[in-house]
Amino acid sequence: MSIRGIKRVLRLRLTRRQIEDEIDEELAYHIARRRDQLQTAGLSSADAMAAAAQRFGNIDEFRQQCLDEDITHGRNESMTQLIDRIRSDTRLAIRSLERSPGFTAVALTTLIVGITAVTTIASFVYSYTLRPLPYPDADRIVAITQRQSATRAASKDLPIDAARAVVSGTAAFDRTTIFRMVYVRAVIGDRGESLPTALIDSSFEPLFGLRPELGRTITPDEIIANAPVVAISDALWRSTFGMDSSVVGRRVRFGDELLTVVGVMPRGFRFPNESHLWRPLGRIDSSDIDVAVIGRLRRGATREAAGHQLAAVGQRLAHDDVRDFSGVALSVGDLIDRRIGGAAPLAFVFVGAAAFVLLIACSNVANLLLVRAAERRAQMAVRSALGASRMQLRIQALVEPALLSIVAGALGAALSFATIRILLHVVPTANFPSWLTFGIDGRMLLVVVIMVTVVVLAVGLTPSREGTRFDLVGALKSGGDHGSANTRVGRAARRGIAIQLALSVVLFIGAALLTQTYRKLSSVDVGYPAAEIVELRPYFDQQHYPNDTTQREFANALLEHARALPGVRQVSLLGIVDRLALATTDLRPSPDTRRSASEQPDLRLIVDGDSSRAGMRTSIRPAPRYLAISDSYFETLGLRIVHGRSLSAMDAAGSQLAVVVSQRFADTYWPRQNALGHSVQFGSRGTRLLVVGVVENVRDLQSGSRGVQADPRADVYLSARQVAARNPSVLIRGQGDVTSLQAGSQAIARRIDPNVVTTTYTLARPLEVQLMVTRLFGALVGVFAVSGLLLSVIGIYGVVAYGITQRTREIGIRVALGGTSADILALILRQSLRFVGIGLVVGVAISLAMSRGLRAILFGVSATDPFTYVVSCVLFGAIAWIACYVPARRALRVDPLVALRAD
Amino acid sequence: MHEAELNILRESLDLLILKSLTSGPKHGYAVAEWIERATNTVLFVDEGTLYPALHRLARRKLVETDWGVSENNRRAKYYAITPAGRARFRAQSPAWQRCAEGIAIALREGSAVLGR
Repeated sequence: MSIRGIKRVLRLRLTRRQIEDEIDEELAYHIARRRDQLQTAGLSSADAMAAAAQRFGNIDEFRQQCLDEDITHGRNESMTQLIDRIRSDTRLAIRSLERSPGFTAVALTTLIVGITAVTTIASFVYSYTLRPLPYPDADRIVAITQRQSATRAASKDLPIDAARAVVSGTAAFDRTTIFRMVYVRAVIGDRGESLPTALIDSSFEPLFGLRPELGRTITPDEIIANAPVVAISDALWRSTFGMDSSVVGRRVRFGDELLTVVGVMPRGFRFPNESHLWRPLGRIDSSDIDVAVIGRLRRGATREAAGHQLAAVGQRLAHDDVRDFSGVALSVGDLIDRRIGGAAPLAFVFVGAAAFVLLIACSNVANLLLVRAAERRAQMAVRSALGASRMQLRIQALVEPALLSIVAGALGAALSFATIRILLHVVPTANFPSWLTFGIDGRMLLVVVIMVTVVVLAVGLTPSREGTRFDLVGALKSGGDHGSANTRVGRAARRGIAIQLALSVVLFIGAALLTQTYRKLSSVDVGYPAAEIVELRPYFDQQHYPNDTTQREFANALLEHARALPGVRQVSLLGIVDRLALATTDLRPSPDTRRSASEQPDLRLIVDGDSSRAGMRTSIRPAPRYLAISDSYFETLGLRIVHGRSLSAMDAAGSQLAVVVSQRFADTYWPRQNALGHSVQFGSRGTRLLVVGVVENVRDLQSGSRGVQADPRADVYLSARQVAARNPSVLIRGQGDVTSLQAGSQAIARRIDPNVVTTTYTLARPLEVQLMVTRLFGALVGVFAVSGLLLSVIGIYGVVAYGITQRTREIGIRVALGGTSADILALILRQSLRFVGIGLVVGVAISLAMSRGLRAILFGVSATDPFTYVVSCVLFGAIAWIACYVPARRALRVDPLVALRAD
Repeated sequence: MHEAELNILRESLDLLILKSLTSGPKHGYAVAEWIERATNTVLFVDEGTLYPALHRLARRKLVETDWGVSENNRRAKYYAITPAGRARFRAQSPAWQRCAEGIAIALREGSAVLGR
């Protein structure tokens, strides 16, 4: 007795390897014997071998079945046995995929396209919106913001007294810190730069858990003493100091000051506001300073709890009449506010579009597998007859899609990371904020894994259900290729086609709407030559320019000098009206006119002193702007006065307050009336402002995701002689090159005061940004739409062609019985086109349901634009019809004799 | 219907294998040869079909296996019927015989009616 025999007697388990070896040996013995026998009968050695193998049948199949019997002991499979089974099924599936390279290539490519699209887009969106900021406990660090309930203006700067109350009065935070932003002008290399600088207190660095890259942090003593020390950003250290570590401890000139560099901040740390320098905040004695406050939530404390505590602090502040604190609500905000809100609609559109491509890809592969499963029914039937359970069959059917999806997932992920790499090389990233980083992230890999699982289930379950539910006898008898049993498979495939079409239609409509948005945007008339007008905007620091008067002096100086620039035709001043100052009867707020603490400032727009109509303002979109302008403003923009007069020297300080309103404003409040002589005011006790003129409308161009407003603005203009112009900027219109105009005006600003940082741009810049964004998005969605369409066409063609091969015999009979070609075409087309119709209807329904989400990024075209919808449907219907018709034509060429003999 | 079909296919093959083994242990090839001779036909489309059936019988302990040396002096796996296998064969073969005869009669008379 052999050793194995002994083992068997002793009931020792053979290893799997040994069992497989035994089976191989046993089967090989059989084939060898048969070959010998055939050879003896006179066949050549090679012929005998081939004949023996042929008589034996599919050796992989039988080997697998023997293995199942020996190892798995039938239907009561334990976990390890299940794994064994899957392992052997995998081997089987790999072999079968190798045998059909065409199918494998098409299925893999389709899935890779889908997975790459989703992974790439999702990782960009994730980086922009959800990826935690690169600080420890970043999810617990929040900004404290104040919001004026009357103006709804949110700000992150709080009066210092309020900030102190927040710091001492909120238990939800385990740490809070206050800071201010200033700009330090420094000569870096040979050019002047303004470096964003944070003035920080001693809790700043512990709150972020900062470990300096080099040197040390600023000590509490240095902060209290306002010592001449500075910490620099890693970026500055690399770019300006050439990564010279001896810079630590050295005294370096920044602007007017010599500062000792104590350390280099960790790589990538640029909080707040892309800072390059961090300096001590010092002791704050004045109560007239605004600071920003951030806090780190205690472990387990929620934002809601912190919000409640902040609300309580706010009420106490209002009660104690802290400066300007009535009508202010404190709340918890995100550290970087641009993150989520603005990008949300776009993120939605994008991830949605990419997901649709993936869905279409899945549905296509599912159809391919369905057809494959149908072809395999005979094989399945044999396995079933030999005792494989339905569960086993189903698992086997899932293995192939699982293999495909895993390979596609791995390749797709790799491809997507490569795509991101390439994109980051192609797209200039210099202007990206420092917190925006892209790259491989554990969570993104998790997304890929989830996606692959979904794909396996989506792709695998449909065909496996259809494939394992079959009529055994029919399958065995017919050899599995023909017969009517396949109609169920056909129906499932056509359902898949309907889904693909629906999704493609949605993508296509989205792309069409974005294309129209781009066309409308590029031809938009804003009412003035925006590209020719340069806006010069100064940013004042509170130290040198604490109030409107000092800021105004600088702006006036700027105005004078800019007028003298070569080629300049017009200059004017533009600022924002301080409505609070106009809401009370006295223009200069004095202690006795101060509002009582509990009272909210009344800033409602009241027309003709009739406060019952107040609040109508809220019905105008876009909301009116209240602009303080110099006399030449309308000329600079080239706006025509429609009625009355422009603002002029007549409107001097102290005389009757005059306003010019835009045509839209006049039409809204005094429809079919002469607006001149009417009045507006802010709040029931506000100063009356007399309408002296009506000016042409302008459209406002807003950059970013809020989009361009389609309606003209309802604006109110006041003379900068009569009211303070907040955040003043200077508009310059000249002949010739706007770039030299921008450079020239900035040079002037530097000459007047090198401490003031300025930026310049043409008034068309928001539109240019908008155009670029729209074009980029439109192109991407367009690519998705086209790939979706192509995939759908392939899908339709394949399913219809498959349906015809299934019905060759039926068609043959019909032809033999005298069916005309029209009859047969109609027969084939009717079935498929019904599903095309369903797909179109469902696609339109989905598009309509999703139109709300699109609205935010469209301009000049409705998200439910009937023209777009009809054209898309007609186009898609036509393409789908061709994809059905072309293979259907082939059915007509069926020779009845061949068809009938085919079985 | 399905289960019944499966059973008929499976049982008939099992019964033939058991019968072939009543005359002594055989390896797979010999079983195949025996069935081919005994039934006077090529019963299987694929000869390989035999092996999963042999392994199934082994699992159900109706046959036992051992490696031995074949008539052409090579190592081969031999199957021998167990007492349980014998009992099974005895219990089932009369029923099969009756069934097969019934079908044969029915088919013959059916042909007569059709005049063949």
